[in-house]
Amino acid sequence: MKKKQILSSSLFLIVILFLSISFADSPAKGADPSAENIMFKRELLFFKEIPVVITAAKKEQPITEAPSAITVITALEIKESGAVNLADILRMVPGIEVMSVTASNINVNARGLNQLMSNKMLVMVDGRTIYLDFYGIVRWDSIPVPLEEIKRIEVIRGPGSALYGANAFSGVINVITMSPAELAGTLVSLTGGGNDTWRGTVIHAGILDRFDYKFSLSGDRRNQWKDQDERSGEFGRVNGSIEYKIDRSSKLVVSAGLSHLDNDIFPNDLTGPIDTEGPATYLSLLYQGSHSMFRYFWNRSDYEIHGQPYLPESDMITDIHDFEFQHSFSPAKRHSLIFGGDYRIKMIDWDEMLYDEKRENILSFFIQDEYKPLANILLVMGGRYDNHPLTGGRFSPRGSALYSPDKNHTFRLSVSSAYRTPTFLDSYGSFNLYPVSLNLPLGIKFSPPVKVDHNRNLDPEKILSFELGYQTDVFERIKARCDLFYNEIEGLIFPDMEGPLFSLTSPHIYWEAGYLNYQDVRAFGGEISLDILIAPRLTGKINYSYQQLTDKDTHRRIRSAPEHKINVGIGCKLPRDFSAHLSAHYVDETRWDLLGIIPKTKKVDTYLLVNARLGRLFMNDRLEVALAVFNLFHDKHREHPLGAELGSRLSFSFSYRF
Amino acid sequence: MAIKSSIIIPVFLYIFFMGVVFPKTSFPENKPLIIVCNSRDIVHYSTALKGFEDLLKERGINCEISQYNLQEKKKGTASTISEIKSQKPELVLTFGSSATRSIKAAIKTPVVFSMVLDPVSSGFVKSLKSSGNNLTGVSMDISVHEQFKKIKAVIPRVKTIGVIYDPGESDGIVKEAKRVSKEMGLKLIAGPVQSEKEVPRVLEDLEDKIDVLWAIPDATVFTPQSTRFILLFTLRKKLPFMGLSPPFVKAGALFALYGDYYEMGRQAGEAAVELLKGKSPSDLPIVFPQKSCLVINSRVAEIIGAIIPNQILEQADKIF
Repeated sequence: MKKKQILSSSLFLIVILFLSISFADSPAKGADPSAENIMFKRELLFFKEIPVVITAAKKEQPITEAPSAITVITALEIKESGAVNLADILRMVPGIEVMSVTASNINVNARGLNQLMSNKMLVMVDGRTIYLDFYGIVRWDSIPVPLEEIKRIEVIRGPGSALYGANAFSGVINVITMSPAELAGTLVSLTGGGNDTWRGTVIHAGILDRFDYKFSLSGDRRNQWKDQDERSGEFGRVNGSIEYKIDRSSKLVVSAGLSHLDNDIFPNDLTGPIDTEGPATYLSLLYQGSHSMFRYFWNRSDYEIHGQPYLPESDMITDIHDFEFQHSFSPAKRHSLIFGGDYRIKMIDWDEMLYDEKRENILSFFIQDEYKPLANILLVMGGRYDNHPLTGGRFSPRGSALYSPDKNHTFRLSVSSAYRTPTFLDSYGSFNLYPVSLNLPLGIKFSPPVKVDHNRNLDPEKILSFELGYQTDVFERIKARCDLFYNEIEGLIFPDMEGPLFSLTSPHIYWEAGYLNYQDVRAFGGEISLDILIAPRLTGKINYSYQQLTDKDTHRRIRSAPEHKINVGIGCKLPRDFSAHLSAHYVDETRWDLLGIIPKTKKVDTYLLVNARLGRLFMNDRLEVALAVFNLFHDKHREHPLGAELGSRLSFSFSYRF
Repeated sequence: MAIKSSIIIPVFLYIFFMGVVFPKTSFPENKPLIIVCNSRDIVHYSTALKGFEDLLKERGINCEISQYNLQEKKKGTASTISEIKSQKPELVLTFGSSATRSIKAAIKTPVVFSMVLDPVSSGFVKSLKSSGNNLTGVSMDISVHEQFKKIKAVIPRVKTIGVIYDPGESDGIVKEAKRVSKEMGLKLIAGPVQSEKEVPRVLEDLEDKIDVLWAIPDATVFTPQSTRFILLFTLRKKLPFMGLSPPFVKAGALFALYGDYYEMGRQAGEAAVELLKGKSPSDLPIVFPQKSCLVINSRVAEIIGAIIPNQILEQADKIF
């Protein structure tokens, strides 16, 4: 009994003690602890850290891990660059060379392979190739898309991915435009500046029940750098598309566009600029499913060539029909396979160059498997087969291994090979050139004809590339990336001059130029880039590229590629909705071997190009007014020995969105 | 005459704008003591406090600020409250409903609360117009209308919004949401749950009927386990999910709209200035965040195929 009493008294005391402790620490008189608890728990929902689940979901819905060195330029960066043409935006990308020859003729290439008529970089707009098949070049101003319509630009250096063929030799530039839903509304933009530079854009997009649509109209013009009253280029563009949403993950897209250009191209050292004028149109049909894609497009251009003594006025008409499909699925656990094919019909009619219409049918297939044996290892293996009527079938295997010791560090090793088949100019072009202003000793001027002839026995250019990459994300403030490469390049195609020769049929002296697999090259180098969030409103970018190219036969350094390049960019958001951006591009000196009856080597000096932009937003961010300066410090420079000397340009712009 | 007006107008403008922009307030020479009471040691409370301090500084108020955490383990809540009382502050600033409730019951000096959800339902104030007591402050609620407006902006095609809620906890906000959705030409489908275990079933039922899942602060729905399930489910089903705050978006929600913590601190500072000038707390209405922040996860957008208008992306305060 006593025991029971002691036990019950102890229990009572414990309960009292417990209650007194609880009440002593209770919030306050009259408070409802359960209500308080719930309300505070609800508030805490806002602040609690939640484990990231994207990685887990990615196993089932993988995003392609990049097997190459990739740089992405966003719509915001395009706007902040203050650039008035697409190619100038690429100057900030490590490992990419942008060479402005005239105010409207720009060549872009990667890792030391830039040249006049650059033809080794595959450029696409929404997956549609846009190069001009006769030369293999890209006419940047003929892209029927205004800068404001671009969502992002993906720049891939090296031939790392099996998904791209044909011109994807030194890399790929994929311009991705915004969908109607992203553009929804109307945008009007106008830019005006020095060198009689004008650029105007109107974009309208909307979404209906299952249909989305977008339409853009744009045009621009600019004068030459040298003769500032002389026009360099005039361009008009119309682009539109309609998207039909089949369900949440599939759609049909019909797109069409037209661009009209009037500017010059700069084919090679002998010819100087050639004036071209005319329209380029396209029609594209795309089915995009969750795992499959089918696309047909038709590119047509009809350019009038005029203004040169050796080329009477003539028309170059190009028709390209391209059928492409791809499908992705997971054949086994941890595997993600993508395969596809492409059939491209090229038809080019240019009497003065080809004598009759020339046609090539090119068939290609690719397959790529992503295998994740462990959570932090990804293996990408693939290859593609391209069949060309003149060079036959070629297989190019590619592979990458990615290792991520943790989420902030990734190492990559890639080995890949690729081919670039000869262009129509290389394989079928035959014409006579009459170089002007050939000054011989003793003041004698001499203009003998140069007979340029095609070569149907050319081998495709071949690249074997080894890459080592590392990227890291430090404290979510610094993104660092380093890529090293070693390239073995065989059979670069150039015209080779031979002469003087003497014609007996109609007695005269002439030279002969024929396209040859002229040069084998060994190249190595690397790129380091840092993207830094310096402060919440201040961001910085810096990248450095190094490259060294050597002729494998002569062991002579190829100096046309700048050895060192440094890009620095800084951007800040200022009070009162001001924003300021500055980019600086340092490019090392280059030396170019110029083709001619008397071959020469000419130097292009080191230059520093600084561009700046100051913008201010009004009316709840709908209106933006900006001031941009190209070449702020007026560092007059050439980017090619035969190119124009680039000066400065001040431009004002406003854009209004409603 | 011309000379006179050329002098008078700038002087007038100077005086006028100086008066508007920098109204000088006279305060007692003694430094007023402001006590800050946090419900818990949370980094976002510090952000809000920074906003509060900056505003007082801008207004030329030289005060002494002393800070307490209510859930400090060494001291009990009661002893913390007693210590605050004994210091006889001119004003108390509370962060979170836990601290607000404790201070409200114990102290009669003016109180400014911040980072508090639904102060009327919590019983802190009688109405939003007037507290009817010694409290005033800033609610962290963003109106349903503003949230739905943002959903329409981020997902222009949206017609039906889904929400999961515990009727015992969030009936009020769901009723309000139904009314607002009707006004805005949207349809709201609400899935009630009694416990977190019901969340998967209800979400699976909702999935093919809705265009977006909208999160409300409901502690029954968003436990660590159910939150993870919701995030994974919406990613796999490619269903846009509007979370509550940046941690949700970082973890896998498509976007979130939340009040700017720094600005909420400044708004609390505005109220404090008025109280120090002698106004009564019940004369100051309860205010809502004047600046809301949009945070978007672009990687999630890519995974689920959500196309976010570029204008919205440009407006986003943070993109993961």
